[in-house]
Amino acid sequence: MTEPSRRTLLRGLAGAGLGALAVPALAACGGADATPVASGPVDLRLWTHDPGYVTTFQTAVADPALTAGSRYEFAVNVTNAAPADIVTRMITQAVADGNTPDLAGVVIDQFPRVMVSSIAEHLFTDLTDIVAPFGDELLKLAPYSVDGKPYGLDSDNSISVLYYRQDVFAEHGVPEDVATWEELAEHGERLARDRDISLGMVSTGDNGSVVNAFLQLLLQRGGGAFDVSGELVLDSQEALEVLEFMTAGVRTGFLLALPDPYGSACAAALKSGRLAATVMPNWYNAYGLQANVPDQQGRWRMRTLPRFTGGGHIASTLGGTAFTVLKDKANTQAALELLGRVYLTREGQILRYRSGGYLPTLKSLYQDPELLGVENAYLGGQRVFDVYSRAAADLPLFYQAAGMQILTDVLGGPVLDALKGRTSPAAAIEAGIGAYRQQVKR
Amino acid sequence: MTTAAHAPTPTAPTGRRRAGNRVLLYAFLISLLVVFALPLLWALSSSFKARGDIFAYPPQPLPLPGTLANYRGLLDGQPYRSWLVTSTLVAAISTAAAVGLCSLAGFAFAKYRFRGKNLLFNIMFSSLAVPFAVIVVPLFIMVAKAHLTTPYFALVVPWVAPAFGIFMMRQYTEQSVPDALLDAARVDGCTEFGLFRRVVLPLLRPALGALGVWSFLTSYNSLIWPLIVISEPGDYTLPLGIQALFGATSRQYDLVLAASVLAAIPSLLVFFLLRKQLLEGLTAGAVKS
Amino acid sequence: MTAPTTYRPRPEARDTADAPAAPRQSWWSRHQRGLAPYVFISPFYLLYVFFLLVPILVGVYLSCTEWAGLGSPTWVGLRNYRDLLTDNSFWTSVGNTAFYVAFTLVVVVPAALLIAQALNTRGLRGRDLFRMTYFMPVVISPIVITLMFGLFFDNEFGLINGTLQALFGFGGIDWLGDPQWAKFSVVVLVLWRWTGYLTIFFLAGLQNVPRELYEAAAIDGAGPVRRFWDVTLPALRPVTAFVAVTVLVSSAQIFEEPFLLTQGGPGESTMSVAMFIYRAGFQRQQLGYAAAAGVLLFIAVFTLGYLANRILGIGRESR
Repeated sequence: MTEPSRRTLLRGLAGAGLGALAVPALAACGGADATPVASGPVDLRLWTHDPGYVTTFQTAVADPALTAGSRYEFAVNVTNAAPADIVTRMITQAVADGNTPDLAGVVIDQFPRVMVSSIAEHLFTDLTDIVAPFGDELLKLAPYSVDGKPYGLDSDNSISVLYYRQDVFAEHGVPEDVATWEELAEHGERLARDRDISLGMVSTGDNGSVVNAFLQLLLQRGGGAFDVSGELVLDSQEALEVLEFMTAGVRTGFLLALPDPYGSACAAALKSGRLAATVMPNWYNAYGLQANVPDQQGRWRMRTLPRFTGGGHIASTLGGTAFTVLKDKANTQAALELLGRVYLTREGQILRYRSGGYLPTLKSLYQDPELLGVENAYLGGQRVFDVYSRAAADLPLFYQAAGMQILTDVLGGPVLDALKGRTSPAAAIEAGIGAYRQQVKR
Repeated sequence: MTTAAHAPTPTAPTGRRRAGNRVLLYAFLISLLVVFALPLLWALSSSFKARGDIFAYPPQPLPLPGTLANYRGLLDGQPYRSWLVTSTLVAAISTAAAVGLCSLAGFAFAKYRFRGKNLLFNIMFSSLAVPFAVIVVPLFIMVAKAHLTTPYFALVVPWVAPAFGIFMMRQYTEQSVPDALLDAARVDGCTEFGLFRRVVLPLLRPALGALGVWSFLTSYNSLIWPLIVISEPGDYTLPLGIQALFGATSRQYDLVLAASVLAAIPSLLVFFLLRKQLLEGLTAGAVKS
Repeated sequence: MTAPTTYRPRPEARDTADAPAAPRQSWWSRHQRGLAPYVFISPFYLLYVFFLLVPILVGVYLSCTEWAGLGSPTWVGLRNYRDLLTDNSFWTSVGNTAFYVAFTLVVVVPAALLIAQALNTRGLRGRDLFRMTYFMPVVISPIVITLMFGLFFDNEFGLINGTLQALFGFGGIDWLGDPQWAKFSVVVLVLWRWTGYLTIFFLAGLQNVPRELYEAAAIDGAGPVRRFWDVTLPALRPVTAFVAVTVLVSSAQIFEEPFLLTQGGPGESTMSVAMFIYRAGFQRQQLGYAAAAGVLLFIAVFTLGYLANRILGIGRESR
């Protein structure tokens, strides 16, 4: 609580006022004069939204197997904040030459915010050289790349699988190895009619949840929102087919309409047994199922997704958090090294799985005996990597672009209207695309 | 100083009708009580439930079996005390300063004629209409460049003379302070500041109480500005801490509920302490003289 | 801009109040009556210049640029304003905001006055308990409010639909998913959250309404309703005007309630102008566009507030 003297205060304010008026000066950001720390103790400022990453990094810096041979003695200094706030605060701090972090976790749907106007390039270290040796071995760089340069390493491969209640399936004669969505939908319709049980959910809450749920299935079907060059590719047969599938599912009761997969209504649906299956990523096991229905331990199982008869993949992806290294700071080198040690080594990837359930982003790890042997107690001792490794081999690629936030806003309403039967799926997709073109033109 | 004798006037309606009115009145107030209390009771009860029981369906009104794990997890696993202290101190300092500065300025606008008064009033009033989202980034840059991002400066100083409070005190001063009383005090040789302190402030007690409550709540609940200006976890306020708990992928409802219940206590305490002020305006008898 | 030190002689007759004082006085005591108001209001204007004026000017400048937050702002003149006028989302948010403002003025403010009047009844038992409880919604963390109202309003599992179902056998209202009902749900939240709080201001005003006026009116045979119209309302005029104007100004900038309850959805059907600004600035990094919308909002709100002041007689000199 240093009490600045009156004069410093006034001088500071006057200077700041003038500085702020000459706004172009704001652009001059980034402490270019920072002398890099080359070795010795280094206290890295880490911003993240999730306690799981805190555990990961704190365990990592204390683990000699991971830090052996480093010139640095790492320590992490953690700040927790919500995902959107991390990006907002990072940008504002950078503009003011303030306290930016050294390492920051950026949630996947916040990343498009830094894809505009070269913000990523100004803010983050280009990781091209670091990932180059890994080639195709390293997964999931696409969503965090701008103009072909990667700026973040994802912590989690976020593989979507089908979670289902084995007991409910057995009781009501739903085969666990249903091959296609269409088959599952028939069972779902029957269960909804006879037992008031649904075998999946769609989100009907905020635009983000609505669009995410749609994209998750769209990616599986082989479609997408953007292509690698950032062009909108929503105007596709796949998109129409998936939205029609979802709409029909809601109408028959096979899919339950819930505001989002984490909120109170979803918890109630799980607890009451009305939701007996759902497509969600690996992290939903801990954060959705175990958190809300710990008492259903042993009744849930997971499997790869049933196929769409029209084609596509047996897996999908939703979510993720990339860690980025802020550029031109005293600790940039040290932060890069730590990130490499935790994110690009076998030991680091296994440690990440152990401390937060984050799936490896290095392909070879899906054949690693240590991981293949993992049994998940909540899922009745199921060997989850049997499923993950098959899914990882057929995982669709997710590309996003600077316009992703806008797309989410303009697509949410029409998709919801379609799900609620207020408009047709074809009209909804057309409306979303039209509004996107109108807003992005600006 | 309520006058002992109520005024059951002879022309009042019959006793039966009065009693009927009373019943209606209480029925109205009690039904509102239920509507307003329900959420806090829900939060209170849920804060003693295990995470998995919070959203049980159909809902369980009571936390059976109850658990203190949420509170323990919060107090042991999070720097909750630090958030609470920062928030409460910042709000208390802001409130004291705001109540003083606003009532002084409100008095000036209500009871003096001076050149430029209308223009100054409109400037003051216009600041009520400034959308916060527009000024927040430039304001932050100023404060950050001046290295003044400590909570006790950044969360207090820019906000200690809110136009809302000045406007409010001007209206209450106009309503409650008779000019005659001021003139009389001036004749007695009272200085202008003395007028404010000895004549105006005592008459304004209910309004001061209301402003105090407003001021405390505004500061205590403020989220967007602290979100941007405060980046050191050691400086976090309660809303920042709760927001961070909720931002985790698992949405830590259990901790959030416990944190929110505890966070409500200082505000309720302020309201409780100021409730006498709020209802104890001087009766007309004292002003008449 | 303001010159608080300007001294001018005050030859008006009103100064006679100073006359009886001793002839030999310090400079300050001779001039204090003219200077005191400037001194009293100066803290606000000091803070105003430092913390408001500069950011506002920067905001106005930014509204004529394209700026993502980092890098240099590009001057685009009035393009942002032109774009806003043809942006459907913006107009949707303007319409929604107008609805929120109208509801708040027509329903919430009168409700608060009514409750304050009820609480001010003489000899009321449990007054403290009532007041304290009515006040509670504003002390609860917004996140908890989101959770709770999500539980109440949910289509499938909500308590409201459940209750309707049990009582009337129908309960299919999609409170948060239907564009019209969602707007309604937002104003219900506004009503719940702010009514009890606003009663504080009315209660504070009611304390200074002389009891004698009521007694006199009662002797004249006026019933409670007449007393309310003839005594309470006129006496409360400055306070009512204050509440109405500040509620107008703040509800025009409404953000939290729709943000918490619906995030502006379904689609954009509950998005307010303040949310539109927040979305442009903090979700899409269009800070110039956000600033332009902010300037328009400011102009609209200030004009409305100013007109309301004139109509309610706030700007006028007190006699």
